[in-house]
Amino acid sequence: MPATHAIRNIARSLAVACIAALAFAVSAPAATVHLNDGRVLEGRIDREGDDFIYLIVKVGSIEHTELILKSSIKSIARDEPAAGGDKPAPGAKDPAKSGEPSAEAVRVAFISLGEGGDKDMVGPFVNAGRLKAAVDLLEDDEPDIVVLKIKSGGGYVSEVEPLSDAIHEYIKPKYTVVAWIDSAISAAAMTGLNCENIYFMSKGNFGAATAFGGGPGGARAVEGEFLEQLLYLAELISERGGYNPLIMRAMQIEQELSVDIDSNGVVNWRPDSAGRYLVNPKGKILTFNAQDAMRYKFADGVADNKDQLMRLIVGDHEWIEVGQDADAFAVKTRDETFRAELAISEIFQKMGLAQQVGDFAKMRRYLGDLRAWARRAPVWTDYPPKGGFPPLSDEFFRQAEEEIRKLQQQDAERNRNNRR
Amino acid sequence: MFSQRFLTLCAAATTCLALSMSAPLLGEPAPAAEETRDVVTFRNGRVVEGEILETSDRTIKMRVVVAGIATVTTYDRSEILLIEEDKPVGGSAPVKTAASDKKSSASSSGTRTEAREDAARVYLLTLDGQFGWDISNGPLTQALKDATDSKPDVIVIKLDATQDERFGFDGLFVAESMTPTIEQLLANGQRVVFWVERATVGAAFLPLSSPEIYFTPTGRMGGIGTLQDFNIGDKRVNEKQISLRLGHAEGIAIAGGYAPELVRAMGHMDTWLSVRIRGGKPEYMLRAPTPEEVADGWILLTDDGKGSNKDTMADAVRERGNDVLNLDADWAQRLLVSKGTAATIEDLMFLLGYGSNFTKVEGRGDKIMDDWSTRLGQARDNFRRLNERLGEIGAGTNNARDAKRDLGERMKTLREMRGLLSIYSEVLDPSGDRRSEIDIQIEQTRMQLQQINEQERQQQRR
Repeated sequence: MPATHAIRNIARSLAVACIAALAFAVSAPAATVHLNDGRVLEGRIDREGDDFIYLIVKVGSIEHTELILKSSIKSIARDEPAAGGDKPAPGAKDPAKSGEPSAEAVRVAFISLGEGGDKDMVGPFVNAGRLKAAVDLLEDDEPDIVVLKIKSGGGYVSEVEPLSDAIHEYIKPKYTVVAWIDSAISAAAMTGLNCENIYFMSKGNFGAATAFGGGPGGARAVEGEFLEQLLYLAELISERGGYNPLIMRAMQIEQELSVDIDSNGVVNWRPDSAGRYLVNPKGKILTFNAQDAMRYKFADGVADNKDQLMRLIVGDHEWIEVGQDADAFAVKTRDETFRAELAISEIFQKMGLAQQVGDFAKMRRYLGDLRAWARRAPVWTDYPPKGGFPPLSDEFFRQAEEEIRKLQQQDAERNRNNRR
Repeated sequence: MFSQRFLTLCAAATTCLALSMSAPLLGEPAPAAEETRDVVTFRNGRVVEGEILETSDRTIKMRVVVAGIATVTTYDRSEILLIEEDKPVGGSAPVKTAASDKKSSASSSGTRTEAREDAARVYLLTLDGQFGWDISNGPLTQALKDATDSKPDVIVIKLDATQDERFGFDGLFVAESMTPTIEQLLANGQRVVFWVERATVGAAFLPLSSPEIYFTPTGRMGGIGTLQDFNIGDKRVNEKQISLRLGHAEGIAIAGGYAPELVRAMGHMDTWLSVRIRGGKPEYMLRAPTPEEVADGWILLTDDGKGSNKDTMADAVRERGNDVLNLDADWAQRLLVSKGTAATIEDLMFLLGYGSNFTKVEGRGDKIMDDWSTRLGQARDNFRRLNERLGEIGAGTNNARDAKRDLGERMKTLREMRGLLSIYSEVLDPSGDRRSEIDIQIEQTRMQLQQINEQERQQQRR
C-alpha cells in the first residue's frame, strides 16, 4: 500500500529537537519491575496505589496495561521519580498546570465529524463547507496534525466528492491529516478513506458503503451508470488515501476479497476468495472491525483515547492539543443544524394545516419563517429536512409562492361562485 | 451437532463428578493454621485459591471450592500473574484479594460473618425487566452515578433482561445507547462486572461492553439470531444493513475483549462457526470442520441452518439447536465469554478474588431503576387514559360555546400527553415523532379555536 508516512516523518524530524524537551516533560516514569518469580518487566508506571501498580508494557508496537500486586514485586527500579502524585501527566501537557509546552511539542487539533444522536448525517451535519470553516479556525494554532474523529452512519452521496476535495486539496496541503474511526459507515467511510493514516477505536467500524435510494417495494441499491460513477469515485478516493481500490469496492458491492500476506508483512489484495485470508466472502458487503482493519493493515493502530492515539502517532514525543475552538465550532454548528431541522419540519407541518383551512395569510407567514431559517441554517437549502420535506432552495420558495397564489385564486373563485 | 451434544454431556458429567468429590471445602470451619492452599493470582486482579492438581507449560488444572461446591477448572498460564503453592491458611492468615491483602474473617459458605474495615466494597445493581423499557439509559446513568459516588471496589450489575423479540438484532441500538456509560466507568478505572441470569435480544449486547462477565448457573445470553430475516429492500441493500450492524456489534465485543466471531454466529444464521480449545483458549474457524479436524478437537458450534441443517422443532424447543449461537453458562465459560459461574453474590465475590471479606454498599441504584419502571408504567397508563379521553371529547357538541369548551379540553389533554412524552422521551418517543404529531394536533386545535372566535366576532359585528 503506497501510503505516505508523513506522520512518521514528523515524528522523526522532531526526534532530535524533542530530546531536550523530553528532559523537562512530565511523563509516565519508566520502570523496571522485578517480580518475586524472577521475571523482569519493563515499562511505564501508569498508576500506583498502596498495594498495586499498573504497568504499561510494550510488546512490538502494541501496548497493554498490566495490574501487578506489590506483594508479588521484589523491587522496582525507577528511571525517574514519580512526580506530582500517583498519576503521571499524560502526553498532552496542560499549560495551566505544567507551564508552557515546549516549542518542539507536536501540535495536534481534533475535529469531530459527527457525534451520534441524529447529528451525524453526511450532508447536512458533516459537509465540506463546515469542515473547511472549522479548519480555517486552526490557522493561528498552527497544528502539525489534524485528527478527524469520525462517528457517522453515512448520508448523502452528493457530499462525498466535496468532502474528498476538502480533505485532499484544502487540508492535506496544510496539515498532516489522520482519520480516527469510531464509526464510519457508507459516505463517512468514503470520507475517512481520503486519509493516508487511519486509526480505529477498539469498537470502531468502517464500511458498508452501498449507495441506495427509496422506491416502491423498499430501498433499492443504485445501479447502472450511477453505480459505475460511484465505483469510479471510490477508486479515485482510494488513490488519494493510498489504499487498494478493491477494499472500498467490497464495501460498495458484493466484491469477493481476500489477501495474502508475505513474509515481510506486505498485504496483497485479491479480487477473489483464493487468498490465504478471506476478507469478504461472495454475496456480502464488507465492514471492517478494528481487529480485521489491523490484521489486513488497513488501520495504523487502535486507540480509545487521545493519549493512546498520540502515543501511537508520535511515540514518546511531547504533544499538545490545539485548535479546540475549531471543534467547538463543528459541534455548535451541528447543534444549530439539528435545532433548525426540528423547527423547519414543524413549520412545514403547520403550513400544511394552514393550507387545509385555507388560511393563506398564515401560509405566507410560515413561508417567511422558512426563509428566515434558510438564512440562519443555509445547509437546509441543499438538503431536505426530515419528514419528507423539500430543501429550502430558491426554487422551493418560488414554487411555494406560486402554489399559494394559485390556491388563493381558486379559493376566491369558489367564494365568488358560492355568492352567485 | 452430535459432537456438541456429546461435549455438553461431558461437561455435565464433569460437574456431577466434581460435586461428588469429597474435597476440602472452604465453607467448612476455618482450617487449622498448618493447612495450606495454592493461590493463583490472575493478571486481571482475580485471585483463586484451592489445590493445584496438574500443571503444564500452558495450563494449570486446579480444584477450587466455591460456596462449598468443589469444581475442577483449567486455567491458561498466559492469564496468570502469580502462583503461590502451599500458602498457609488459618484464622489469622492473610487471604489475597485483587487489590490488597484483605484479611478474611468469614467463611465463604455463603453465610458471612462481619466484614473487616478493609473489606472490599461491592455495589450490586440489579437490572431486570424489559430492556429499553424498564432498563433505559437515563435511569441506568443515574444508578451508576449513585454507584460511583459510593466509591466501590467493584460494581456488579446483575442482568436479568430481555426485550420484545421483534427487535431481534436491532436491539443492538438500544444497547448502544447504554454502552458508552459503561465504557466511561471502565475508562475511569472503575471495575464493572456483569453477572448474567438472562441477557437476551438487545440485552445480550450490554454485558459485552465490560471485560468481566460471569453467569449464574441458569444464565442465558443470545436471542439475536435474526439478521438473515432483515428485509428493507433489495438484496444488496439488505447486505449493507446487515454488514453495518455486524460492524457495530463486533465493535462492542472487541472493545470488551470478546471474539467478534461469536457475535456473528449469534446474530446470523448463515454463519458456520467451529471451535477448538487449545491451552484453555478457544480458536475459531468460520466453516464446518472436516472429519480430521473433528478428531483434532474441532467442534461445530453453528451451521447455516439451511435444508437438512435447519434445527428441528424438538431441538429448538430444548434449546439445543445450532442454527445460531446462544450461550448457556457452560458454553459461555468455555468460550471465555464468562469468567465463571456463580449462584450467589458470595460465590461471585469469591470468584472475583475478594474472598469472603466484602461489604455490600447500600446504594439507591435498585430503587432508581424500580422507580423509573413504576413511573414509566404509570406514564404509559396515563397516556392511554388521556388518549381515550381525547377520543371522547367533542362528541355531540352543537354550539359555539360547547365547541370552545371541548377544544379547550382537547388542547389541555394534548399538552398533558406531550408532557408525558417529553419526560419519558428516551423510551416513549426517542425520535420525537410522536411529540411532533401532537404539536400538529395542538396547532390544529388552536386554529379551530381561532376560527370559532372569528365567527363569533363576525356575528357580533352583524
